[in-house]
Amino acid sequence: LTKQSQEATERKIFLGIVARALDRKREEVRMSSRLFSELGSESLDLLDLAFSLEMEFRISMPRTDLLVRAYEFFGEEAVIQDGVITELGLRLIGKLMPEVDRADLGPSLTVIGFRDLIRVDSLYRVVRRLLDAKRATACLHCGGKMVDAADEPELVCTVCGKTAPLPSGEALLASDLEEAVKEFGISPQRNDRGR
Amino acid sequence: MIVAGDRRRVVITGMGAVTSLGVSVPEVWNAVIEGRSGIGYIRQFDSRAFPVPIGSEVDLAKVGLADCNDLPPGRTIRFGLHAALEAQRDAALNGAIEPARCGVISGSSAFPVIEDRLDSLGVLMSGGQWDFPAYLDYCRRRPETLAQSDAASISGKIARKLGFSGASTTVQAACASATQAIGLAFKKIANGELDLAIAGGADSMLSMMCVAGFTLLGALSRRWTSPAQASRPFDRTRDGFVAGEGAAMLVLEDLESARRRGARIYAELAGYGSSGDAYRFTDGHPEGLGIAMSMQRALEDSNLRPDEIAYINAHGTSTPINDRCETRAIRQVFGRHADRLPVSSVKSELGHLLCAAGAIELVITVLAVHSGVLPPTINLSHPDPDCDLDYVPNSRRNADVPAAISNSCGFGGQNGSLVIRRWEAGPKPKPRSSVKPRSSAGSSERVVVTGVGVISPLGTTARKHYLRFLAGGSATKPGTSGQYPEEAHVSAFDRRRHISNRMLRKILTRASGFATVAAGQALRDSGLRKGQDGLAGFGLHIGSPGLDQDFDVFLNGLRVSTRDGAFDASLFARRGMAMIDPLFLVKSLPNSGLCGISIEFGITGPNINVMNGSISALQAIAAACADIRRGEITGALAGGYDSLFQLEVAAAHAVAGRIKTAGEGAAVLVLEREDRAIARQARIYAEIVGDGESCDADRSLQTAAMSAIERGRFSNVDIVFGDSGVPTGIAALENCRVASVTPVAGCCGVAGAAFSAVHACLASYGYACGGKGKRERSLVWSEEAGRSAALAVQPWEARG
Repeated sequence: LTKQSQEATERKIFLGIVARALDRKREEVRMSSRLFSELGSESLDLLDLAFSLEMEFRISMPRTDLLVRAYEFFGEEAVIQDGVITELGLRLIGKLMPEVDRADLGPSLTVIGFRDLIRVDSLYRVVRRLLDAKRATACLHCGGKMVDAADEPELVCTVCGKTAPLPSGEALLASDLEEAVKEFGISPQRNDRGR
Repeated sequence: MIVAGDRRRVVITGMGAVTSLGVSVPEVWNAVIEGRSGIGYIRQFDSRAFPVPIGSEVDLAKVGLADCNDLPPGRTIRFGLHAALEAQRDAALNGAIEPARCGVISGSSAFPVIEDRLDSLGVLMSGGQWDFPAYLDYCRRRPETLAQSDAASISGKIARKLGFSGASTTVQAACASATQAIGLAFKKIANGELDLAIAGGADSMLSMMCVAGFTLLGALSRRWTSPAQASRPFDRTRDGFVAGEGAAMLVLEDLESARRRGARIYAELAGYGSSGDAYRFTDGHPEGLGIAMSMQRALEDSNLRPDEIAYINAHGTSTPINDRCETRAIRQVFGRHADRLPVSSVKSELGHLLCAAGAIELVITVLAVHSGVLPPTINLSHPDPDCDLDYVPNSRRNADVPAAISNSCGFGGQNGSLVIRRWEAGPKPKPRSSVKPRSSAGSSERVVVTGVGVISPLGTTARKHYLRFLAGGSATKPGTSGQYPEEAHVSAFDRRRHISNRMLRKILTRASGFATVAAGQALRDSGLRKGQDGLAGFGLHIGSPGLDQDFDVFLNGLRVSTRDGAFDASLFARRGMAMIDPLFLVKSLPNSGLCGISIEFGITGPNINVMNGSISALQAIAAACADIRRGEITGALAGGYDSLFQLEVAAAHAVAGRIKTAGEGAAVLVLEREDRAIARQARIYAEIVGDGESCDADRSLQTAAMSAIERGRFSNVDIVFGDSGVPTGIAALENCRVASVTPVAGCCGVAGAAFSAVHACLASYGYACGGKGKRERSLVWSEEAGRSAALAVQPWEARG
């Protein structure tokens, strides 16, 4: 299977899962569809979607959204003030969610308004990166190729048989934020929330 | 029977409490008004690797165990009994009231504490599935593990301990359970069914799987590094609730009874209101419409004006949405008075006691009114522009509180509000007509049945079901699941075709899906539709199973959390938890049938979910009749649902050896006030003329049947629908026949008695012959473990 055709298959499976979870016809779901305002998602659906994608693709999705992680990183005031996303918040969204239309990242974007910007491809981007990260994982012990273990949520080395955890969605999000910190030249102020 | 507008007054004469801040009311009260937090790291399971290892945990060593020798060892029932005994002592009852006039009505859940089975996981699961014979063998050796998940029997067991034999019920409305339980008890005393009730809630959901469930839902505060600051209702930086456990019980008493025995009166319980959001399953209505309606109804019920309320004990969970919406609701109901109205949430100190929350919060509200001290909302240091009321921040305050409200909102959209009025010696009772009359009292107290809906193993419409029942057709087959010798399944039923709400199609269980579809059938049968004015004054009264949990959802997560056959808590926290359906807790809510109906058909009226074993549906129907008679509602959807095809339920039945054939299904009736039904020219199947309930261990069925017969003024009964044999010594029953659906549809749990209620209505109508057949007068009854309920049903005749 070429990388391209594998990706096309995964994309198709992904869209099928989104359609099934939201009880939509397959053709109603486009990559650019907005999950909440266009497809009628409720907050429970996102949990359900993340879980279905994890089970299907054997990946570990982040369970917190970008804004929540961002204020654990930078302090709430730096990201949201009076319910409105700050300039730093908008820059973070622009960098970490490239699929969002720049025109929607206006100065009065609220937290609820942000939620409405989340699109089907916002989810796919995360799935894609986690799948790629999984395939790029080499065995720490022998450098061998790693594949999904038979029935545990972990990877197993095809050469030496040692196991490794799946790439973590939470860690991916955190490293994105670290990178943004460097790029924007700001210092993170971790607060006491969360692990 | 007491008619609308002529109800009795109810006072509070005793209280008991068990929380993380103490195991008596004075301890808890003193800690709460000092603003101490009871929240810390959870110790009852190995929580170290959990993302959210904090909770508001009770020190079990302080809870009196001496009284629990013959009780199952679950935390919930111990807390409940401890609080009930304290309340009983506090009220100095000393046997002054006849036991048959006293009941226990409690809100509880008892989610199975799966930890108990973890030491044997290697045996209980094989080939990626639960091994039922092994599971059964385990439960036979350790029957206490099953008793822990039998939430439905909690009130009955406490009642027996206290020596009460009147109506006892367990109520389930998720986080509004205790408030709704107290509301139901209040009504039963006000309308003369009981003279006294110990009412409240008991709950413990700090077990590993429950905490995992709340964690997966993202509902909990993540401030695990600073537990005492994690619960911060109305603070801008609030990020979720902190789960707690405990119990509180209040002695509610008829005023005359309290006066006769010279009881100390803490306060008057002056009014109650409940409502359904009919919006979304776990999101409250954005404008707080549901909780606004319940406050409004409670105010009307108590005949108080909004500006007479001087304190609100808020639901205030510390989740971003709840606190914002509740604030809006308070503004909506109280208008400008809201600016002068202190509101606080003791969840800041105690965390969220879930099914028991409304009870401990009412105890605190009673003491605030009684002592003139308002408990503070602690951890309120960052003002939130969306939460702009006076929340009594961080330290207590003295205040003159003539009346107060306590609010509760539950997952699924059930809400409840209770009004407490200060007791002053020799108060002048306000004339009941001062605000607005509740109803046109006396215009009609008759309750008629105008629609029926049934999903059963015999058929998936009421017609198919009933005709097959009359023809003696059977749906039982040899068991295929390995759980029962024989089974009777609902077949050829695709609920996806019948339920329009997408989220409901996703989250309702098989059983609660039956309930929703049966309700739709009943509405159509009666000629009512969603969105019609006719449904505006409707209530929703449902009997539900105590446990509706698909244990298969845990299989993958538990399987990957074992090392050499032994469960490993850190493996579970690291990867097992993530392999469990994050919606499992929502999907297993015992009130999901009621909430499904509310959301699907837009029913926002008063509601109650009875979770009291197989008699639940009859109690729910009786409660609906009472609400219609007292003018609170003009009609109701009432009935019950169940499915016995669940691992834990099957194990319990197998251990008890009670049943041969397991079944499932739902039945719902449309009840209406007679004049309404006549005015819209509805077809009337039957009239419900009486009901009875009893918890009198040896003779509960006899007592319940006698009450129903007396209230219905029956001289004779043609036919009884139900399972039990006819008790001797009741003249009206001497020549009756008994018809049971169980031999042909299996034991259908809560649904069985609901089917019987439908049979009684259709028999009254002569349905088999198109309404022209012999019209029979009947009794419906059900009995389980010393608790019984009965209804008297007769053919409807227009009054001359």
